Amino acid sequence: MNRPVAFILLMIFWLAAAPGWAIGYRGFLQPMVKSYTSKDGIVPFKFDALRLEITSSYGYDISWLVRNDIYLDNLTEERLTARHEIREAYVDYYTPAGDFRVGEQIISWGMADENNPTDNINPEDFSDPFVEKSERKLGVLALKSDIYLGNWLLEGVWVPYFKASVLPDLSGDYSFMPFPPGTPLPSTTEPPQDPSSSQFGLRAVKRGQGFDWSLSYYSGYEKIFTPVMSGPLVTKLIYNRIRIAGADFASDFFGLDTRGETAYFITEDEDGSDPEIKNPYFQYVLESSYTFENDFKLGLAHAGETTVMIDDQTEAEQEKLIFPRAGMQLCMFSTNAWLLILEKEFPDQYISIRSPVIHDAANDGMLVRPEASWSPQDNLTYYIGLVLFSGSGDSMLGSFSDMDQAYFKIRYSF
Amino acid sequence: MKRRLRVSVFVLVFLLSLSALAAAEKGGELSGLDIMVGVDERPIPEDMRSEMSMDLINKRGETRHRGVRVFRQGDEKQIMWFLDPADVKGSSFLRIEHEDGSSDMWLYLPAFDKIRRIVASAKKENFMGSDFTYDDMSTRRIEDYTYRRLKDEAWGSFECYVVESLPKKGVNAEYTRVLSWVWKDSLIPVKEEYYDNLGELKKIRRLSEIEKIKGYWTAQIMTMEDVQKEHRTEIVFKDIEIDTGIDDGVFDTRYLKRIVE
Repeated sequence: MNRPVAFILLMIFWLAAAPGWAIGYRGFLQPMVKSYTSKDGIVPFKFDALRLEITSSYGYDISWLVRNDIYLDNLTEERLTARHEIREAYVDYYTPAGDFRVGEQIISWGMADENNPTDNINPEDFSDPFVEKSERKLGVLALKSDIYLGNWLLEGVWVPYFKASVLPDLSGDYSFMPFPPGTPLPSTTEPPQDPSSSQFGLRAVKRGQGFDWSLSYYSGYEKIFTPVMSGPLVTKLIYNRIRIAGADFASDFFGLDTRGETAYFITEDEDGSDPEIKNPYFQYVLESSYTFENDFKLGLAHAGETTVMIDDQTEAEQEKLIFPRAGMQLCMFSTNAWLLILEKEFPDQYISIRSPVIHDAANDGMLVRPEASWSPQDNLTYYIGLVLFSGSGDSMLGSFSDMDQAYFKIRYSF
Repeated sequence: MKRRLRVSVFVLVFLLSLSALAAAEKGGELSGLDIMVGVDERPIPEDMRSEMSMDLINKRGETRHRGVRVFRQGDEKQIMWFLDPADVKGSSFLRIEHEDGSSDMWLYLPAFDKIRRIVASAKKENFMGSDFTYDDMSTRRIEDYTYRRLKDEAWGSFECYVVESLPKKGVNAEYTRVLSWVWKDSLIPVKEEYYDNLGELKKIRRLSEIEKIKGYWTAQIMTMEDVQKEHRTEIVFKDIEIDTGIDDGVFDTRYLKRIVE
């Protein structure tokens, strides 16, 4: 835990001890059994996870929150693996002009559902890249202000220190890093933990009259390191700066629930001349859905990426080998993806079935994730699902085809 | 000559108004439109706050409970925060209707930490597992429907006008026909039947425990029954406070993320 977060926690506990503070809590327990269907039938038991969220407020102007996740993995093996993550620990201060939040926090930008090219402020835990984004995102120490000017919301974010994302082991289950297992890699060189590694973001949001939209700008770091090569050897792993200008919207078009986002990523290879750093690129997602009267929802989305400032075919081939290190995680797997989402609710039985399908049209890969959930009572939900990969070996999704999963989990909320 | 014509027109209008008033007094000659205009224009509080106990009951009698805090401003603005159970706590909903009949709706789900616009095409979806669709929570615009008065009926202890409302051509309405039982004493539609595209009865909404609070007739129990799914939602309004001067600023997406006391 770094010192600023420790300070925020101390401040929170001091506030909690003061008279007049009402404390509340909530959270969930989520034991999970996961089995890999084709990798020797391994059945690791994951106690994934215990989340405890403590909140408190004083009057109506100040409140605080601490959210801690505890994970217990590998219960079936001799050595229990336990880890915990303070996802968020912040203090809120509300004023008539705006709201201010300081501390470890998760910031969500973007009006599309799951794939958000404009959402770049928080680091992520990529060790299992196929869990939902809200579970992957890690808190970051930041000062956030929300200023309200008429129908406009102006968001400002200042992140004083760099915090790295958690990347999968090269020998891990779902390593998407472009190095084969066993490749000797130096340790990463992180930006200095001082204000020179500051990051900031600005966003203007307008909601209402049937159309929500926003414009955003973020100046920060890529989430994934870039290798510095000397011949075939990797000599350094560094985090490059990046600037991202984005726009997004949500509205109704031709009777369809339609959402879209796009972002332009200005990498450190601003003029496209460095062969080891990705050229500037666009990412975009456009999604539409319709819910039929029998509680059946059909959604279709297209997400993609276009790299710019490419001079010739040779550079185009080189750029294809450099995957994006910011923006949508989906674009790390495919630069041209179609998503089909099928959802059916059986409200009378408290059952819900959904099956997102991702097709990597660029490299012919596919991911299908059917999941059924049943809530026999309030606060208790059972989930059963599959994660199925297929496609050619050229595609990232196809390369995971021996890692199909079946899982069962129970979530008890309290 | 011109002056005589003006006087004649004035006298004619005066006599017509008198006869209309007399008809209204008797109640017998009110048209369906007159009644529904009366429903629309009946006095309602400037604002209201209450706690809602919402039970979702399926055909096997299994019940799910939702505790909700709701603030309203007239018929135009409403914000709701879910207080329990734990798996929905912190979810919230904001509805703002505009003068042109359009409305904006947003839902906040804390698990995703996103304020999500409910677009028009999604307004036929059920709201948080209840039998109310997002559209059901909006008010129907008088000018979007044609009205026909049917034979008066008593519903329980309520003496009611019965009015049939049919959406006009081009109006994107969820129901093809609505029958309203309007309690004569208060002009509150105490019962409404909603019919689907096939002309089949889809839902019935009932109001009960209607009392005057601060001079306004106020229903304390509302039930929406989906007769096709054999599922119903019962809402009991508790701790109702009227005209407390709720700040207009509360009806803003800003307040979706924090529960107002």
